[in-house]
Amino acid sequence: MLETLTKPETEALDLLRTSIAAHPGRIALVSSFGTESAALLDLVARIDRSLPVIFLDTGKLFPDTIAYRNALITRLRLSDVRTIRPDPAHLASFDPNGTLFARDPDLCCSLRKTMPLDDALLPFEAWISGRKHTQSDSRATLQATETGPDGRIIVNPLRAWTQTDIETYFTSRNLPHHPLQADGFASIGCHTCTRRIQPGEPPRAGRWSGTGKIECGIFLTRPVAA
Amino acid sequence: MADLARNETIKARSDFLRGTLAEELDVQAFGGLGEDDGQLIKFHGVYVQDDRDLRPERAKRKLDLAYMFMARLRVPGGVLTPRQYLAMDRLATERGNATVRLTTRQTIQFHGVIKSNVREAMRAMDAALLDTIAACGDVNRNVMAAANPYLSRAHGEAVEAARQLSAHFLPRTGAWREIFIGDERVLGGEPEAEPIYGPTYLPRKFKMTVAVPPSNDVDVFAHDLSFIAIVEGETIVGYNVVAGGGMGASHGEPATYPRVGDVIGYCAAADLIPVAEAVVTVQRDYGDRTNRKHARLKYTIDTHGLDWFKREVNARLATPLAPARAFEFTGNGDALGWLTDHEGLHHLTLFIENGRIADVGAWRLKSALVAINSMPDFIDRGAIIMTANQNIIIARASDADRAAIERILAEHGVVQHVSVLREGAMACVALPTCGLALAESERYLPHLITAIDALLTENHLSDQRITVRMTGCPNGCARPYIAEIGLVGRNPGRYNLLLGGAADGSRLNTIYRENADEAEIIAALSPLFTQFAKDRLPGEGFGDYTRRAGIV
Repeated sequence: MLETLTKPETEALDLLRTSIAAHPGRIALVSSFGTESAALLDLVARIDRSLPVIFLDTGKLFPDTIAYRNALITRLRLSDVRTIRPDPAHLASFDPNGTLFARDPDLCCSLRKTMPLDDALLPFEAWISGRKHTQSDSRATLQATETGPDGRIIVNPLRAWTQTDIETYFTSRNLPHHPLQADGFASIGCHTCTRRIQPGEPPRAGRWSGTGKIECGIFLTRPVAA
Repeated sequence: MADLARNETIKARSDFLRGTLAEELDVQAFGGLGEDDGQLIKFHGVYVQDDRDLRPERAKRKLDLAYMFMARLRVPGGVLTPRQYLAMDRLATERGNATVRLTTRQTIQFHGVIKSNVREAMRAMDAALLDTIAACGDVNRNVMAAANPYLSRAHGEAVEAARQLSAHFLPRTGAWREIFIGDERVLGGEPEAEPIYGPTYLPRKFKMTVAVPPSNDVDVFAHDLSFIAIVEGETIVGYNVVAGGGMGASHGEPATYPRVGDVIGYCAAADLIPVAEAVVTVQRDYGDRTNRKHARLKYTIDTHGLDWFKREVNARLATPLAPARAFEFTGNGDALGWLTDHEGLHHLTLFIENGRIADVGAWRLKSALVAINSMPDFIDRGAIIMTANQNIIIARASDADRAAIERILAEHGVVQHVSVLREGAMACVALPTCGLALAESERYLPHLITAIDALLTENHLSDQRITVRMTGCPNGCARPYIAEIGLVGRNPGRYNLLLGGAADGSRLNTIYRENADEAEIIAALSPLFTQFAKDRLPGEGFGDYTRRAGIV
């Protein structure tokens, strides 16, 4: 049976193949196992099931996200999903009661996402991200490959994908959806800082809602350490 | 050389666990499965059973057995989300016998699934991101972990370790999805060699656990391979490795026996998977494939010797095992009731007698758990954790949730206070669904506990924690051979009474009375409790006492 690939699918697979070949053993996929993550994970699994996948368990995730991760590992036979956690010493110093998210969400994201990711990326020179032009104004100009704030290459195979492209891909590949998607969540981060969105709201409107914050910081320039 | 066991041929000919299952499940004229497919379907987490209560009546009327299937989930570490729990509750009602049975290995069994419902049951699990892959059969089965990943960082890491082990040793064959979900076989894709197992999988079942001291809730000494977490700061730095535990035996066959595992060394946390793979492949290569009653890892170790086994494992490792680190277990039970974590979330360990969740008269536990898991916010934030002692932890409740949970339980007639003896008691399923049962277990133990409790009260021992475990046959699903009081079914109404296990599950017990009925069990225990009440040392458990006093 011959598979017919859609144009976005072909382009994404080509970019992934080229990038993985350009950085043998030195490229990882960073995945939140959120609502659209299965598409990119599946594309990568079609090329190399053993490609390192970095998953940040902030300690504040929805249990359904962990369940989704477990199921996708089984379904896609991903053999190297690395679950990264915050440094317990940092949490003990700065967030002993787990309430930092309410006082200082930027510091909370630093402790629970940015710093652990920076450590996890040390062995790699490039990483693959699932960001899309449609997700927010700040993501509308993403390039196929970019140099990130730390000098590493970031590959964006899905940047030009539309919501329809994602849905078409989920259907054609028979991929399961994140359990919270059917319950009104469009973009999923920590349970403390994610809410359901209303009809008509952009997908990331439910992230850090009520604050000016729009990115966790893993894609932003790092403040220079004092 | 002896001939291979029959199951070895079934596996080899099965085309990676497919057999003719896909076709046979469509045959509705016969409610069971043929012999070979009946063996193969176990690898997919399913047993063919029949309602044994109905056997006499059906035999009289010359009817076939009342066939039905049992399906067992794979849930590493026993963690479910509220949404998953609700889906499984519905599955039990719509496709099973309207009860949810928690097992002694941190998962759920659905009983009474008729053949025409098997595929629909599996599809409901798949939709809830769950499966039954390798939950039975000659493979690594559900991997257990110290209950409640939300208790501490180390507990979270232990459950992650269990998930990694489960994923790593999952059969690679696509048979489960093809047979039950209806996925097409990937044609022209990569060949499906099982890189770890090979085409005949393991000689026999294989069970793994991960414990976080001081609790030995998972009973590390009772499974083929266990990892005892060594925690420094808040994180797991490595594991002591325990190999060769196993409970199963056969009555009257001294060549079969339960065995507690040996601590064979220590590995760094990063070496978890290589160490597990070394142990599994030694068993794959050297396990006895000629005799299924002599095929578990415990017999491989005893046949070749522990030193040989350690050498063989180390030869397969880049970093050999280091000497074991110090550790201490204080018990293998669950701490029932509420506790609060450092973030202020509450966790209720709820006693569930023999793991059976049902609605019976005014006691409506099944409905109560549906109401709890449906609570807004809790459904997003909460978790349900099945423990190795067949209890449930309702995890991550807010202050408001906690009050609501208490109210819901009370409204549904769920009494949370039972005797200390009952808290620590455990029975397997046995009659009427288990084909192996020689005697009642789950349906009888609650009654026997009441009788034993009366004896304890007479002797002012009702606060004494004593593990009592009963199984309906010698295969040992409730791990009776390491209990302080073990009861193993021999004949209807009759049990071997075993005494002398340790309170932390680290020692086998010994037969004290054979084939005893209830009166004989009570008559045997009564004077021992009187003696124990009089002569016990401060803090001494009943199992330790029976050893010291030379009773067993």
